[in-house]
Amino acid sequence: MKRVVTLYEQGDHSWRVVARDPMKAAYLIDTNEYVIESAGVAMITDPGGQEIFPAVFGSLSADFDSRKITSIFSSHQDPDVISSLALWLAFNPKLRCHASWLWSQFIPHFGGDGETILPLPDEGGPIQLGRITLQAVPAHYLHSSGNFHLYDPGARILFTGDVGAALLPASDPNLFVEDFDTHIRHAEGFHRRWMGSNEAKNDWCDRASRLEIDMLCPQHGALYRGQDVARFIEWFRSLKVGVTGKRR
Amino acid sequence: MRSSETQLERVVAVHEGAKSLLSDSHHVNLRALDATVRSLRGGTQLRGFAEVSAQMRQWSQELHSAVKQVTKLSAEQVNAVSAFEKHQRMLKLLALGGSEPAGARLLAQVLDSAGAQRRELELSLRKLQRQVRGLLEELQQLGLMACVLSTSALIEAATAGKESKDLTIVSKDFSERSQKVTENIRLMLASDRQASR
Repeated sequence: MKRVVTLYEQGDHSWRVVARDPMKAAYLIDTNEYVIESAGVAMITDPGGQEIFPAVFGSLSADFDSRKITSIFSSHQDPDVISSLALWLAFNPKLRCHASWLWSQFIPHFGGDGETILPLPDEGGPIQLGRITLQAVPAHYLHSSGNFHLYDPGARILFTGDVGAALLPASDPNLFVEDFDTHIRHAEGFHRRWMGSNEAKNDWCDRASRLEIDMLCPQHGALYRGQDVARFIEWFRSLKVGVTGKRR
Repeated sequence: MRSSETQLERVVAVHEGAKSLLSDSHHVNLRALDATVRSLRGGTQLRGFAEVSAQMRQWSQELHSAVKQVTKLSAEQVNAVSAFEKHQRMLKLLALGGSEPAGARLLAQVLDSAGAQRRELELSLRKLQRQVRGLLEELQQLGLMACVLSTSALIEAATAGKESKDLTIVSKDFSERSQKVTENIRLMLASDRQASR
């Protein structure tokens, strides 16, 4: 069973994480799903693959009324991100999915129809949720060619999809990064290989540095908070990406 | 309730009802414990109220235990519905394919075996639905019992001498909770009946 932890709560505005699953099959990458709620309406980010849908949905519903979820934010098109779309639509056929315009004809291969995807332009932009306005922040080529992060200026939380992700050993149950230097070793190989462009990475680092961020929340592994947010951005800036393991 | 609710929405509706009942059962348990202790201290005049509040406490524990079973079954229902929906989608897509004769023959075989799997999934889903229905009907009986107990509490409170005023407040709280619980169970049953159609 995945655990649901409230990351932020202020009145009717909240962030929850449906965090890593110790029961998950070893052949599936572990994922974090985030549920943002404002004024009784909620959005789930990167809801995961269809194989883990029961674990995500079951764990979330134990703590939260899933009927509040009216939209999905899909950082990109990968199966571990959005292949559960058909099952979410089986739960609520009216759900809409924000994703890069680039993937608006690709993601429906996982489910949905011509109305399901709300395409995001390359420059990103505001997404209204209840009483709050979230920002779709461009993160193209990190790692997907049409890639977005989601910033909540009220909660000062940035959801970063695969950026910041770490392939942690099953023995590491920490929700938050506890020791940056140890943690980042599990993120290094992933970022070198998955992130395709140094130019795009540096652009993103500049953009992220200008945001006020208390928590940086990736789709895999532990979450960064406090000083570790800036530490991560600087670490990422100095990392040479777009190379395989042997060609560093 | 929308008539177009999906199976998972109905499972969630029952589960949300169960979460609310758990909170009610905790509330009544604590309130009834407090009332039992207070009335035991009050001597023979409050013996009747002590008995009723002890029964109210037992009722809250039975409610808690039945609701816990509902939440466990809800989790199993999520798994079963997900598997069923996944299978349905696969069957639907397979059925669309195979316009070319050789492909159609192959697909017919696959559809045959997938159809058998679907029947199995459907059976396990129906079994779970029956179990949930049984528990909800038990809960309905518990709801009725709570209404009877809270009425008894009001009667006992009226004859509780100088404690009467305070115990009437407690009894009214029991009564309001009982009505809330009964209404909640009615809604859960309505959601579940939709799901079984």
